[in-house]
Amino acid sequence: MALWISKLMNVLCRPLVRRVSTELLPHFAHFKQELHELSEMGRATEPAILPLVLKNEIEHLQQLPLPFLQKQEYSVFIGYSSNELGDIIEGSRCLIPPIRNESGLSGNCLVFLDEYHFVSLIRELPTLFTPVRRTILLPFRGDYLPERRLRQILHQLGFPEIFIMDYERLSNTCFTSGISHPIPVSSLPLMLSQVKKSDATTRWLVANRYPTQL
Amino acid sequence: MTASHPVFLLLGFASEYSLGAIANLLRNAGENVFEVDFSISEIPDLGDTEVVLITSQHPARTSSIFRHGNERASAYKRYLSPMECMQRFNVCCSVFIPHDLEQPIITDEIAYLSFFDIYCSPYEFNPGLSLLCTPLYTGWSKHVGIDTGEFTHQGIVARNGVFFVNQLIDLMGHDGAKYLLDKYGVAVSHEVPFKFPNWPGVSNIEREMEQTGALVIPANTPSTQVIIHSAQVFSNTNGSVLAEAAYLGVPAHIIQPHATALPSPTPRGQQRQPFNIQLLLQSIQNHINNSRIT
Repeated sequence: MALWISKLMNVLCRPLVRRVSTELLPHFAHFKQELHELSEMGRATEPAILPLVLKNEIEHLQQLPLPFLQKQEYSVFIGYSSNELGDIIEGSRCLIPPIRNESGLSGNCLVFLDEYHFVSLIRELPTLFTPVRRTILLPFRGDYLPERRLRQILHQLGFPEIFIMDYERLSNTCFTSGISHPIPVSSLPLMLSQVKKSDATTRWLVANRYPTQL
Repeated sequence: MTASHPVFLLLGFASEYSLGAIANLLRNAGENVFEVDFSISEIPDLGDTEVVLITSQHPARTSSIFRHGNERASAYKRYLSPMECMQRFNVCCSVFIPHDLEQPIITDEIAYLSFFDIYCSPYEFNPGLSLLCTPLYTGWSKHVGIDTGEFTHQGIVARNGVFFVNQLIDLMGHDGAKYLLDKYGVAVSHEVPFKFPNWPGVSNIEREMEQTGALVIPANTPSTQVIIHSAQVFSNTNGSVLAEAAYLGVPAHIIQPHATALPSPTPRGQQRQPFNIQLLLQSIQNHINNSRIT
């Protein structure tokens, strides 16, 4: 019985298989080629990332919260322009992306000169920022991820307290507002106090490993 | 352990404090133990004394978020998170012991394990956690000396089983006892005692339940002790007690709202291993010795 069914299936299916191989497969190959071309075209229309990141870094460097950073020991700066900071912040180190190994992040305070470096790092390097002992400083613009999502990621990475920090160049002062903590179980970020409005083009997320305010 | 004389500081909050039995084991082993259940006690002043910090708290739950929305309740005012305690004390070894057997570590809290030196796992399989700390297969922290001691309605529980109430905070927002009796009256009619988690405010619901004739086991009775003596375990929803029942080989069932009958008893399964205190003490000692060498 089984042999008979097998023979019958062969007779019925063989023409169909032949038709797929002779008629449809070339169409699939053509379709694949077209998809490839479309994706290449899409890539060609993307803006070059480096000029944008450099422009952002320059703006963020102009609003770097110096009074805060000068109190930190062993800071590490990540950015294409980070070399410029060695003379300004004593005892600091600079890392030029791409970062291949998390051991280089070792320090008390890790400062990203642009959100791009943070987003690239967490996508390309599986890291919990364990070598960062105290604080991550991150400028945010919402170019890559919304600010709330950034806070959620930082909470999930083991930084339970996040402030928003602004720097006023004229008075050379930093002020913080809006304290975010992870909601129990979900770890969704919750602002426990209000964020002050600011005209600053650059605002910083200050993520702490250990809560500083009880 | 006695050569270095660190003190043991055990931390938790209400039903999320699952270290009472371990505290007794440590005392029996000659250690100096401080127990802090933040719902009833303050953190002690230990000065510069070396501390072995053991906690069953949620590692990511800060004191600020814990008090948020509960500012008026005195039970929440004393709360400090494990990280806040680590800053306050001279910690020579930190240990995380979960209070929830169903979900020992919440996914979004995994990164916080890197704050700890040792994780006491109830289960053998702990993939990837050795990247963050030292996982030890110690077994379930409440599975210690559970056959001893007596509790209210013990005889009835052995015949009829017990009904554990889960998701208490939701229940408190749903008219408490009235809601429970309406949805799970089947437990009352079958003389199955109720057991609530030990949480601030639960005594009011217990009192209301008893006034209607329902049987109630006091919330501060260790749940594992109740489970091991039960014919079977019932609950309104998933939670740690069902996982605990499975761990102890006791049949467990979720009861649907407005059910008219309870499932028939099924045979007991196999009990898993009790908490291995020796393994924990040895690992703590090794960690302290290694950190002194380096």
